[in-house]
Amino acid sequence: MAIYSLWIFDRHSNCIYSREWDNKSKSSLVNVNNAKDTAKLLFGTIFSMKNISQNLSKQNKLKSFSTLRFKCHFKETGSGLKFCLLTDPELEDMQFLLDEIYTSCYVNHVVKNALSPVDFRAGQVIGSEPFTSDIDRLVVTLPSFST
Amino acid sequence: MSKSLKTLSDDLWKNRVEKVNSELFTLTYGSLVAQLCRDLNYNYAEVNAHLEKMGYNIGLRLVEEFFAQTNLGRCQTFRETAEVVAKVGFRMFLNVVPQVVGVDEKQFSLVLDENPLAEFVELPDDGKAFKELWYSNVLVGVLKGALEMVQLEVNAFFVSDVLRGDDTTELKVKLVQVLKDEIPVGED
Repeated sequence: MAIYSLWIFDRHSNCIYSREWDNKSKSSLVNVNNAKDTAKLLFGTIFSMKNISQNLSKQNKLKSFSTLRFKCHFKETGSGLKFCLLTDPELEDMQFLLDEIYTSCYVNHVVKNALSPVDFRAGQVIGSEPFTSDIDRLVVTLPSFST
Repeated sequence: MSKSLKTLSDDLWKNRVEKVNSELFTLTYGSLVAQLCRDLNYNYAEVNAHLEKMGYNIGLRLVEEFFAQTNLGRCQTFRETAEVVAKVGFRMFLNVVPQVVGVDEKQFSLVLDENPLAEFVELPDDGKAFKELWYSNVLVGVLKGALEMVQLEVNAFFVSDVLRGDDTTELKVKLVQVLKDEIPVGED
């Protein structure tokens, strides 16, 4: 199992979406741990890493960082949305997946869905089921998903 | 920079953007404004405010489509913002490129030589519309909404409109402040 979870933070630094895949228990967790410490610590880490990389060089961008057991792939859009994918550290660059999640899933199911907010209030999350199933379709079909 | 913006927007317009019939678009917008005028009893100040609010809500969403298609990052300076708004934003969504004039670090003006919203339009001859109605005010809202999403709080307004008999259609954008990226509130 090489892709563990996906977290999306909005420009107000709230966690608006989380998706955790667990192969063993076959359970699928959507928006369960948004307010938990993991999400907050993850945001804090990204926030600091982003600042450090910008301090080192103005044009610098945080793309990923890894620890012994994890790799965090990161994408921030111009509008301040932060996409963060946790995977096995062995995995290759996953920017293409984050781009795809933004351009096809987020834009289609959140932005073009007139009933969904785009500027989220604290505690609001992306509850759309088609959004989750589209993300699953993208991620689960990857060869690296369960290697 | 400006050369590459042009190639980028040409490519976007040709290959990426979905298009609709421009007359359908113009007429739909026209009926919308006309209906608003009737609903609000020809109180044009209110019509302007309504159009701006609609535009604002459009802008909040439009900006994501913009980033998804262009893959651009945030601009470094307000001048750059002006260029990108005119050469990529307007081109991508309306297929016009307004001239950017009077640009400095705090403001810029967009002069629209062509305005797809206002084709075939004549303002009602009731003595008020020529002075009070900003027919294309939805654009003001779009700019406000879209720029707010990139942490730029701006004040935007029309200063002239050919529909009113002016020589040009000019939209002014003034930077109010650059919003700070928010950080979560402390726990303890």
